[in-house]
Amino acid sequence: MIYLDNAATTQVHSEVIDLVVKYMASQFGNPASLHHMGLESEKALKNARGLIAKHLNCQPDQIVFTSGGSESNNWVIQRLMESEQGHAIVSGVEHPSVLEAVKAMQGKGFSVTTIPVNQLGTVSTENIVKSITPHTKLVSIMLVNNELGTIQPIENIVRELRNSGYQGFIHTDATQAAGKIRLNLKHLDVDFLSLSAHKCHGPKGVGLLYMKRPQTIKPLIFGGGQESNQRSGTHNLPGIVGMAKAIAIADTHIQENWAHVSALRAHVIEKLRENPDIAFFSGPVSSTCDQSPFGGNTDWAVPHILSIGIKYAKSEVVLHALEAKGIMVSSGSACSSNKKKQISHVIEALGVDKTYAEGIIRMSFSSKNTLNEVDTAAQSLLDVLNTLHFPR
Amino acid sequence: MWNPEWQVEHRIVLRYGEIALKGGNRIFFESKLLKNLKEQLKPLTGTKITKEHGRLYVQCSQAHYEEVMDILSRIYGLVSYSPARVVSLELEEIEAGAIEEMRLALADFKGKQPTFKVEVKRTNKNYGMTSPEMTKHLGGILLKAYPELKVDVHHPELQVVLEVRDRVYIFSRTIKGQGGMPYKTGGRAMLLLSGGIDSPVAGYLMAKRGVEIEAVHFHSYPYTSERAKEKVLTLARKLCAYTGRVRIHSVNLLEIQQAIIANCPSEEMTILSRRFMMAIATEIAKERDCGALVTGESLGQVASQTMEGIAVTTDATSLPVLRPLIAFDKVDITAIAKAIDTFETSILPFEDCCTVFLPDKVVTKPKVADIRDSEALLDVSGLIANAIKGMEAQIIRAEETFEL
Repeated sequence: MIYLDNAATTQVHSEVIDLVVKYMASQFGNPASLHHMGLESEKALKNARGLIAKHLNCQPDQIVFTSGGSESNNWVIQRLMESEQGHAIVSGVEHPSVLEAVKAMQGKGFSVTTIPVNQLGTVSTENIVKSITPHTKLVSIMLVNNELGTIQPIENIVRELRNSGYQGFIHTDATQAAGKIRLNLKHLDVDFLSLSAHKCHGPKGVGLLYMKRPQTIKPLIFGGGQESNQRSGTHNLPGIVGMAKAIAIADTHIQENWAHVSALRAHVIEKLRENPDIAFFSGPVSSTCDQSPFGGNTDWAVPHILSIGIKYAKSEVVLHALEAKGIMVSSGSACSSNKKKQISHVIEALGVDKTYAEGIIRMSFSSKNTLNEVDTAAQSLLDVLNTLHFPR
Repeated sequence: MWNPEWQVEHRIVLRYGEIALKGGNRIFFESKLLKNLKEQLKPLTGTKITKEHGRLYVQCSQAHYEEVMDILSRIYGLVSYSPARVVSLELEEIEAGAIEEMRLALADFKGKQPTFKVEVKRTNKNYGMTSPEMTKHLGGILLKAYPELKVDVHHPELQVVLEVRDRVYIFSRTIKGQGGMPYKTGGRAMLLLSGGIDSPVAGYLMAKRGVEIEAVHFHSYPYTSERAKEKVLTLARKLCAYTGRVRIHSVNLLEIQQAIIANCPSEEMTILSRRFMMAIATEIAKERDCGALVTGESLGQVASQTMEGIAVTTDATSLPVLRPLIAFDKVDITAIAKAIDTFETSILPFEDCCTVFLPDKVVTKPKVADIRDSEALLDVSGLIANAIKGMEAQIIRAEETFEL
């Protein structure tokens, strides 16, 4: 089996699994309990938070643990958009957990501006700044796009917005960025950042929300008062500890993983050029994983996500044909697979030519993939396309 | 425009005013300061400390700059320090560097427009422009970049200084340091550390005078929780940000408190407990070569901290008792606690040993003779010996390792 759908979810590191098991089997106390077992769990929670803060370059009290990216996104959007009057700005390529939340909260008094993207999926900082009104309460732009791998110039956007006197909040969904580009929250300077563990070899069902100033928004979930009264609910300690370990591992090896995955991607592109019906929609890749070069308005992408367009093809057919050969890829975005629409909103936002639009395959790599694997996958795709005949 | 491709090196000049007054002792204090700096900066590889023209300089790369500045803000003995940007002799780089330095300096003025002046010191006689030429040229460059500013050559609020040597050093900001004396130049003292707001501040202030701090902490487990003990260890770790490491002794006071309740007048509970704490702290202090005790006592704060109360507790020890907070108002102590990041931890609701055994009425003007009489009802030396026998000691360090 060759797994090339890492943007959907990733295999959990074995060290992370060991930790998760430890916190389920032996150190399973509730951090809120007053006895010794509770204290030990509370210490583990503190260490997990401290470790994450260290690797993301922020303070421990700026991190709130949640059940994942969707919860973090919904929390920010629902709370910031709940007033009668206001304005929000999002990009056209945000994850459904952002767009659907915004749509649900949009009302007669609260308007939304959707910023278009260019051919490589990048938003323009200028457009965002131009769209600011005195009523704008929220700007939400994802850091890395899940379908194309585009890196949005968040550092630049934040700087320009703050310089322009913008008084509202800035949120970024960094779910796809974690483990791929090096995150430095102090430099990023956003007000909110969402992150999920399962995209960087951590467990599913756990994530976090970074809040530049703690207690900025009211909780979404009330109850026992965990997370300094910001997010109640017994801590998913095995998940949280696992997430901390996964983030630590990712940050420690981030540049070497970047180089490794860049090589895999380059090889796939090189090989697939053989077929004239194949086009690539993901942007160019830099040699460094540090976020600062992306501060400018240049179009960059992460090497981990490759959007491949096959002329005249039907992506789901290709997907199953590859599956039959033991190769897992994605067509469109995993979260949207229930939708009746064949074309993802991201591809639609790009304005991709109709002949390619229904034949988009996403290959997403991780540090666990090998050159042999991706070579086989690319070859298999070529073979599959030779046997499948789509009407022109 | 500053080109991010250009290599940025930073050189921070350190100023140590107070120890400069000490004449003969200057060498001792300077070498201790240097030693402390080296220890704190050791983990940042490539960082160098040099001594030139009678001043200390720290050299570091762009990558370590923020961390170095953070560490310097907590080094005792530094009156002030100025970070200099090091650029090449290329005029383009010098101009861009000056503009960038100005930008950082202006941030400190928070929207106000300071008057400024450019000063050039040129030791490199081979450099093309003369000092006056450079001053005029850069003044013009800065005025063009920041047209809202005005030049004042007599009393400028902001000075952009350029030293032209083999390279150019540009600096504009003077940052206030901790002050005080280099750590470990003033002997060693035993701090009575509780989970309250005051004692960590007292420890910080004595450390600032160069006194090496060790701590003793009292608990009444299981009447006080493990979390209360963790709280004190956390406070000790906060002090480590300034002292490097702290040796902390934990003593269980339960047996003593139970003996007091059983045998002595209830309103003397607090004052008698405190005498035992002072006596125990004294024994540990002597064992550890400490020349004094340190407490967070302030006059008039709680019932036992009246002048009479202080006389009675001081009577329990033969060591000098340093009380840096004796004349401080609570609001000022709180301000320091917030500045050294101990306040939030201190107000966590885990009970200390004193409050658990608090009687309804507390004697406010105890007399030494009366208290000694009450104490005589107890086996003082036996109780003290037992308490010390069960003592635990550990060394707390500043770096947290986050074991999972």
